[in-house]
Amino acid sequence: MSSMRSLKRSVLAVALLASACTSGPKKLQLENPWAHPANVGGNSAVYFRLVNPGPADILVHAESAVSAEVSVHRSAQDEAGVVRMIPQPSLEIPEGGTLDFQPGGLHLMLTNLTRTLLPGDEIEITLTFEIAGPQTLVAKVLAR
Amino acid sequence: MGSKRSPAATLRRLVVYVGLLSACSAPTHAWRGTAYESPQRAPNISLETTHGTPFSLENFRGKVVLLYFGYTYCPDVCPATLAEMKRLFEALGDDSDRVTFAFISIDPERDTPDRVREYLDRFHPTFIGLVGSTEKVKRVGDQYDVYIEREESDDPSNYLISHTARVFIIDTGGRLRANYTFGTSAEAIEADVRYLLDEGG
Repeated sequence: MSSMRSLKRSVLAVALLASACTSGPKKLQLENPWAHPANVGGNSAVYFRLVNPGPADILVHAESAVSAEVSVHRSAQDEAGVVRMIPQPSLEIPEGGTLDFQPGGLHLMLTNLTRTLLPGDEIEITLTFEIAGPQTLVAKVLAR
Repeated sequence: MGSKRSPAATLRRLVVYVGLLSACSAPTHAWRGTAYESPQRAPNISLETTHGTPFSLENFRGKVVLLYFGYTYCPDVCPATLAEMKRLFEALGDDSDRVTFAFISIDPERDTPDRVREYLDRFHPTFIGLVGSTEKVKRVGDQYDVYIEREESDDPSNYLISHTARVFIIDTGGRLRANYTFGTSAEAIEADVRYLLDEGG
């Protein structure tokens, strides 16, 4: 009986240790980032899926060494098939929410590129969130 | 008893009637894009290619022509559309020899012929780039009911252009048949392209 009790204690201790290791702040996930190829001086866009397992947050700033400016826009198509860009100066990320940055929708716009982006290149973008703080995104340039 | 037919015989006759009926009715095509009800000759495109030669739709009779109005500084929908056109050409395989894609630059101020050529080559070397003066491009755009509006920004050299992002399709006889809003898949457009290739013989 005493060996059974000690086994139970050991199992409990391992379980507590395991939960202590995995708990901690729930981090934002930036999944499958990619960007369009573009010429130096031109513009591109970055797409990814943002998963927020934590509390509501706000994207307050974005920057990259490959462009003069990084801004958030949403492309919107009207009934006539005309597409316009709508700036999103501060983007709210709901608690436990997922945002899809995708062609023809929400995207990070890279304006006035400091270098040509060729398929296969990898570019770094830093996104700063009000709560989660700065997060680095490495996007692959893809002609797709 | 002699005049009565067995159920199997009746069924056979029914199958024959239905077969005859379907043979009589004209085949209808379920367009994946927005089809024009009474297709007309596609408006002429008086622009130059990126190689400096005059472009004429007349030279593309016998081919299906796809047209798109865009610009190389376009960060989102233009490269996405070109990537879809690339997928379409890959899906068409050998039949892509009978299809032409032409990109009309709506940004004469910044899109030099070389810049447009370099841009298109990243997607597909057979894509044709068309350029011309602001007036000429506007005239062509008006004929295709294409909206083009420059959006001013803090940096006057880095403006965006709001524009109609439809792809237009012209049949082998030079008639404008349908158009596709942004987001139409390569697979959907391929079905219409193949229909027009079959129709053209």
